[in-house]
Amino acid sequence: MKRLTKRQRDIIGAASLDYTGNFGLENAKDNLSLIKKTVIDLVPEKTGPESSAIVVSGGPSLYKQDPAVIIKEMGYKGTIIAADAALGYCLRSGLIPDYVVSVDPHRAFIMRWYGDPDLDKREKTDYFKRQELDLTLRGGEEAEKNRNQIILVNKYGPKIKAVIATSVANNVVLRLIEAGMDLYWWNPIYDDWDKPDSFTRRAFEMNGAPCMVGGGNVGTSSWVFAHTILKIKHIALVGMDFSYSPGTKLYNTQRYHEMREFFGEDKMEEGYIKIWNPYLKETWFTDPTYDWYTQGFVEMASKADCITYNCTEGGIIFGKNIKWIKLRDFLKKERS
Amino acid sequence: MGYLKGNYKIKKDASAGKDVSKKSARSSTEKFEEFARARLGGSIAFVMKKGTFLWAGDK
Repeated sequence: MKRLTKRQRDIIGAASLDYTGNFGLENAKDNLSLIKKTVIDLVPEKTGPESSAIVVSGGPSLYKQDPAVIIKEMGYKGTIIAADAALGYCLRSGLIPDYVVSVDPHRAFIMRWYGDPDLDKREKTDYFKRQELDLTLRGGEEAEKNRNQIILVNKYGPKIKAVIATSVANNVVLRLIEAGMDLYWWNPIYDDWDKPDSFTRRAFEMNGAPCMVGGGNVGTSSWVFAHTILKIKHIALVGMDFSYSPGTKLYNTQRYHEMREFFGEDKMEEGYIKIWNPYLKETWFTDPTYDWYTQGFVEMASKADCITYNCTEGGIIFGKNIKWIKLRDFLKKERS
Repeated sequence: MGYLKGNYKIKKDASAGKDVSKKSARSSTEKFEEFARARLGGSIAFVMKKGTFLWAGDK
């Protein structure tokens, strides 16, 4: 399949609004009494032209590159922002992020990354076995791994600020509070706030929290938070691939069931999009939703008031205002 | 070696075939778009208006 056209991207955008608009606003109502501070209350501690941050996302390159080792070895002093899917990796690696970001409204999926106290009550799916982003949680022994995750998050929670979208389900929010995290809220920009009955405007008028571009996913939300709220000028990405490395089994991709349903088992490979990475000299592949994320991210990066450094050593994110360098080289500049 | 001679006539209008193929292509595009609309949404909506990353009400 070819890369998505503008029309196709708009369709996936509309699908995302279908999924998250009402759902996110309902969650925002449930969370209303818990909203005490917003991201505006965060005073950026490390600003200026040399300020830097590392956004840690949960893509497959995170486990291949193991960036926590280099970050610790080089004594990085800048800001660490973890997407929720990467929190477990960070904590197990002894890397305590300054912030963790969540945005997805689902009651169960993102809960796994904080340790799910109600795991045994959840609907049984093949998620853990097949596609769990956190590779330590993938596979068997779910209950034991979940218990360990709860212990880990509870231990370090009080040291981490949660940058939490009002769209996040209330049960997840209560879990963060239980883990001792300090919450800073924001509303996702769902739609054009000037349109009648806009979800964005309704969320803002309900709770007064600022509305931030979410980019379709938590990794992009973390990056937007870094340069929009923290005013960081140099932002490195690790673990943000929006794609799959050559040789990845389709069975392990995020939208395997959907792709198989539409294209059929025999032809589903045709539904994925192959993208040549000129830096790696490899062809990676992605699915339509990830391509939507990627094209949106690249467009935003070209307009953002920061330089983005793709240090994933994987994936398909490259374009104007995005520098492709190794994490070690980014860290050598000793920004703080 | 002989060849089989069919008992049918092939349409000489080449554009007829093109129409069919175009229609089929359009139809598969439409099907994909229908599928994408129903099943391929992301974790959160994504809209950006006039290069604005943050909106905190009308001022």
